[in-house]
Amino acid sequence: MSVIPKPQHRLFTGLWYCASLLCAGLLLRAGNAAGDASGDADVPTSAVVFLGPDQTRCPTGFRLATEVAGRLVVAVANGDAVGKQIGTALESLEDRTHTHSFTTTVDLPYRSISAADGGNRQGAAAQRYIDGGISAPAASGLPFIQLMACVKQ
Amino acid sequence: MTTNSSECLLSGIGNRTPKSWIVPVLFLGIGLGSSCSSPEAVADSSALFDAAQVTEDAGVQDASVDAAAPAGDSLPKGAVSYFNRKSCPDGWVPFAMGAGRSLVAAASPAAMMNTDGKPLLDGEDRLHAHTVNGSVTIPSVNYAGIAGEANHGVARAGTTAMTVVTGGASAGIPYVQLLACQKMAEPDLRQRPAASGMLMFFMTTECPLGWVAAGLSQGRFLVGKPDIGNAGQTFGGPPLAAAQPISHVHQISGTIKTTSHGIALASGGAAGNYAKDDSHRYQFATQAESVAMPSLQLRQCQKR
Repeated sequence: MSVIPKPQHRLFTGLWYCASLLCAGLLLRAGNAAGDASGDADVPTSAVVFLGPDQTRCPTGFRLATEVAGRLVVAVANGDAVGKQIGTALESLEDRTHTHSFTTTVDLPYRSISAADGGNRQGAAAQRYIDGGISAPAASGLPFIQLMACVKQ
Repeated sequence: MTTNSSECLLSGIGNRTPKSWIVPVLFLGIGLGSSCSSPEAVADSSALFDAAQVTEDAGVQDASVDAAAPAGDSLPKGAVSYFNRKSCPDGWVPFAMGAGRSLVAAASPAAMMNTDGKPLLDGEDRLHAHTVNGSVTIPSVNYAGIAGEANHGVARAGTTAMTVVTGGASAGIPYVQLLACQKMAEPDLRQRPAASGMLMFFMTTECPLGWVAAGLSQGRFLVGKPDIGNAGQTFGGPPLAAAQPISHVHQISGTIKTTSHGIALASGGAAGNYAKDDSHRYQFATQAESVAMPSLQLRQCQKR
């Protein structure tokens, strides 16, 4: 025996199916937008990450890593050493140079001559000469790339 | 939340029981973004009271899920990252291999794990010096006399090797010390994926799924962008290469001012090749030397 549904019941059921589909659509969109993820821990707190060359802003949940600005990062395994800054930060694209002090020593050997010492002082004495100074500056030669650095908050 | 809301909802819709309208009731009642109740609970749609009960159950589920809230992160296992904290987060261990070194994107697969230099000590501003092979050339003068014994007071003209010692100097490369940790735990996929464009080092030969090998940064030391300046700009020397040590030279120059020695002979004549008393300029380059900035090359990948 077949049951004939009441018109009101059929209308009510139809409306709820429509509502269901609407909900499904909204939830699907919400799910996709969030990557179906519930947590925001893409990386752990305090992680310091660099961004690709074309990135100009820190992602949501990150702050600019000012402690890294103009600096390389050197890894440490001891927590007490974390955060120490060595040297003065680089300016943009600064290929920092340095110099060396130097000392030169030269021993000019003698050349014999059959003569006594006298008044012609055109010749240089055979002896040790010492000079010194500062070398010309030079860059390290290291290759660098400056990138956005951000800290997960 | 571990439940996939959309799957749950669709499964509920697929349940074509006469009272399947309770499904939207549940969702509308709970609200968008709240937990989806289990399919079994949704199927048990005998009454609105039941629906209320399911809602309460869903709340309990949420609570239980919260109790087991995602504690990890979504980064792949094998990731190596810097941290501005004193200890590694859960699921990560100290990356001892990199201690005292700056991590550099491997210039090639063969360069993976290549190290250069000795690790820096805590706070070390490393010095380096150069060896130098230099000389000075002294022009000659002549005397109207005979070369030979026995006056040794005048120097010989010509080129004479010099001993040059350079002082140790820092290259002045500034750095900050950060904790480096390696991820040992599996990724927690409940967490938001890493942001597109993020760079990450990996202890793997290939980039994980969803990551691609970093390009421009390969073989280069990473510098945090200063306040003023643009990201993505390279400078300094060419990228690291296995057969190309990174070094530099300095120009050295100065003057040797000689002291005169008097001889009882007139100038000119046949006795030559005696050093002229004067100020003698010298200039040469040091030997090439590395600044000894220690590095470790690892695979660096960028999130798509």
